[in-house]
Amino acid sequence: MLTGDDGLLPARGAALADLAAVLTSRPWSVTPEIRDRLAAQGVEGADFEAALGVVAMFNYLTRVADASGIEFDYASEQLPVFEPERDQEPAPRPGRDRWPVVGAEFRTFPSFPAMTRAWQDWRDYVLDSDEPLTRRERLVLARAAAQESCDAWRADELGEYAPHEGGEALLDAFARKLSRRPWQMGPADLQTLRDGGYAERALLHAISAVALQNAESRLAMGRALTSS
Amino acid sequence: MAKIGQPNKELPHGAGDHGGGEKGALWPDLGGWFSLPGMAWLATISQGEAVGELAEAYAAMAARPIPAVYRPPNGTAPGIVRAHSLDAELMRRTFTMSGLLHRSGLAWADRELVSSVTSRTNQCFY
Repeated sequence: MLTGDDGLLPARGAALADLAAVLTSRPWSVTPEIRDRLAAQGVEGADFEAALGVVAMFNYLTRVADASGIEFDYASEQLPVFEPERDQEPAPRPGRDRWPVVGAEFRTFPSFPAMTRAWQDWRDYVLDSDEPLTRRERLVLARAAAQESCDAWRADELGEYAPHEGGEALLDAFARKLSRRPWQMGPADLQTLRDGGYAERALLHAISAVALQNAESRLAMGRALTSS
Repeated sequence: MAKIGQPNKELPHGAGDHGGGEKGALWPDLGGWFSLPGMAWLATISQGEAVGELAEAYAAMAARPIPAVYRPPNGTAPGIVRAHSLDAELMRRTFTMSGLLHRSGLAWADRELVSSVTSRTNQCFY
């Protein structure tokens, strides 16, 4: 159910589900056909941007949920209980020469100026602050997340932030797992960073930096469809 | 219960459900971090124990016009909000962004479908 290929969904829902599933699991492989299928169902312009925003936001929120280990807040007596498939294998990443190159202009919401400002405010705080993680540590995390998302432009932009040995190597490994296999995160992943000297608030910022870069890369690859 | 870490000097004494370990809470009063079932792995501060900027951020979150189905039945802040509770400013900026998406004009059913498929694809219960 709700896997992005559910034949029971109406055409509009099926097209939205396909966008969400592909952009989440294989953002490098979104195609103009997905955009056109949505447009045929009336999802275009601002609505298309908003749908991309929801996909991006939930790629952030799910990673925060998985890395922090929060409990489920709700119980439904009507719907079947969702059991995550923890042994799911992530989609194989393509070679570096096949990563999409999507510039800064596609990392905004042109139909929603207030949303663009809010996104930038949020991004500045998460990726451009100097405490409780240094700016360099944040960009080490973002570089790994951009690479795992096959986001060539962002990975190149952050090329100088390859991790040094020690704490940065721990952050890099954390970012790669949370980007590629968020459903396999466990308490030991945070404990490894604690043992490496990172305090609890720094852990929150590490999670947030990885999750936000995953969100941004997916927003960019979806938004790039509006130019073709 | 397994001792899983060291006391966090950043947090006020006794503040919040300090998560860590096997879905456990951390209790500095016991001389270290211990786990209890049913709590987050990351330290959090509950709405009831928040003060200052964090209390204000929680209050702003609670005042948002959101559908009743988004509110946990126990009346506390949702776990995804609590997960950000070690930094009130991060909580504010994150959920300002998500709030704007709720007011984007895309139909509620469409947003729910997109968010559900995204979560399902990431094998996440949230």
